[in-house]
Amino acid sequence: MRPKDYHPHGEQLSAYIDSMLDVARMRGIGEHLHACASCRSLETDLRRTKHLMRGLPDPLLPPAGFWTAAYRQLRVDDRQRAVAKRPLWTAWRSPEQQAHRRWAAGLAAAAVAVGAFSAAPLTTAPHSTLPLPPAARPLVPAQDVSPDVSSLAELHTDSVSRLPLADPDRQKMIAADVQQPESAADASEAAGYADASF
Amino acid sequence: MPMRRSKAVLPAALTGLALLSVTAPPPSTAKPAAPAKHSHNSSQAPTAEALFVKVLQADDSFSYEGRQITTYWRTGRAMEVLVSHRPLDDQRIQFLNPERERGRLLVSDGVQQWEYEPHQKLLRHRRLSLGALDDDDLLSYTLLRVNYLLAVDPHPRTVADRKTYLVTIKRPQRQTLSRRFWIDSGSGLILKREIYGEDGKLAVTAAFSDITYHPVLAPNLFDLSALAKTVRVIELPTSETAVPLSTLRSQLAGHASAPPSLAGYRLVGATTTKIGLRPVLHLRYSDGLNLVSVFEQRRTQPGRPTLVPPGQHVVLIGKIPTHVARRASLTTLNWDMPTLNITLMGEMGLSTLRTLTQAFMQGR
Repeated sequence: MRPKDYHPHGEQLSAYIDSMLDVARMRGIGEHLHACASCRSLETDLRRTKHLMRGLPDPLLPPAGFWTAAYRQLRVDDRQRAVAKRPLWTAWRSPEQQAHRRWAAGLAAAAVAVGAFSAAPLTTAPHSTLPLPPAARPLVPAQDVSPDVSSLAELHTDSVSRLPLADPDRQKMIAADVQQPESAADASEAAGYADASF
Repeated sequence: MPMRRSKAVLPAALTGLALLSVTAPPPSTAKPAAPAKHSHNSSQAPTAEALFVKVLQADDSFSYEGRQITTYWRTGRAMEVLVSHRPLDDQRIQFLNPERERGRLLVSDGVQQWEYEPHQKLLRHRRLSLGALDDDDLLSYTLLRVNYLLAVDPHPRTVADRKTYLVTIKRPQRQTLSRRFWIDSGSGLILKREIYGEDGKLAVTAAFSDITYHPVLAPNLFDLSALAKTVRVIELPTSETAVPLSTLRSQLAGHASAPPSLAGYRLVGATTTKIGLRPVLHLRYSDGLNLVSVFEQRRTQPGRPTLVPPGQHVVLIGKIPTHVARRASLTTLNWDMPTLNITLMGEMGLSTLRTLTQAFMQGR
């Protein structure tokens, strides 16, 4: 359990919102959020941002071969331009100048690729020789996480309490015990049932 | 320890039970009888059915206060609490021992629960799950009779200075003890209970060392609103919505799995809830005495195994890796099915939980 004056940073808050932390940390941050208005405000903003992000269409990834085709196309264009406009003597340029030119071509390639990539959802390019991005392909979402055991324990013990012959007092105590930080005693107590030769 | 019963369903259940037991005496009045004289006349011993009716009738009809000691025999852990009850559903549990737990409070009114942690000066608040079961007491009793052997000791015993009848419940397979209840002959309260592991060894005892009926309880005993103004309060977000059993197949976008029975346990209720932002289906299976919860969550990435907290060990059930976790006296098993992540939870031995898990995996 973290001290109550420890302010979780953005990544921890994000993981907290996604329920990606272990039970003790989830509880520690939850308790801190209850007490700390500034972190609570940050958490609310982060939740809102995540919610908005979920509402956006999935970003598109370029298809296989997109970059190869883009560079090939740029090289072809570059060569054609060079043949058409460059005086013969420029072929004798120094290697250093050629390196600068390659670097500039790379930048241009990136600019063209970004332009084609960002415009793709809005426009079609019937005359383009570049392959278009395919239909929306979602990014890989966060891995599924099993539900928090302490939350499940509350639901379970509430249900047990409603059975005839149940022991609602003890069930309440079990639910409260599970809320406590995990300890070695927890494991051994349950093991008392589980390890018997049933 | 009153049962939380649905008043609307109770009469029907009682009618059914009355038909089951022609020897059952008529239901007692709401108020508990005065302490009964000890009698050793075995011919007057009630039947198990009659005592079952009496336990149900003890529901919420009178106030009491008493010290209760719970002992977990296999670990040696013992807790002493002061239990106070006021009709209808006001319940207060104050921890007395061990010292590190002294001062803890659990207060509920049947709808919501407050838990006070004096060391952290923290108040946790949550809504209790209502309507979680079908409230079919007759079904419970029928399951109990089918799955267990019931016997009443004709000789009354004394617990907390009260006359009680001892009801013994055994597993039919190996005749091992499962539970023993000492039921107050006057009030119908269970004053002592013993829970046995499936090896027949005693696992838990919970017993009143003393009890007072109709005590004078301070009016603010069940009200923690003043405390809530001086300490931190944490809201625990657990709320459930009941789901008719006939509509279970359509839950979780049609992916829910809900076998009607599992190795002697019958599906008795279902709810939906949310853990974090994810919908969870909560199924309850009962054998009349124990209850097992099955929680289903839809997987979004069937190709990747669901993450579980660290420290859980893995057992193979069939060919499926299953994660085992133990908290307090509960054991949980978690495993992936093609479209669902399943958590099975109960207060019982791992071998029983494995059997139930296997039955669930096979859909029966």
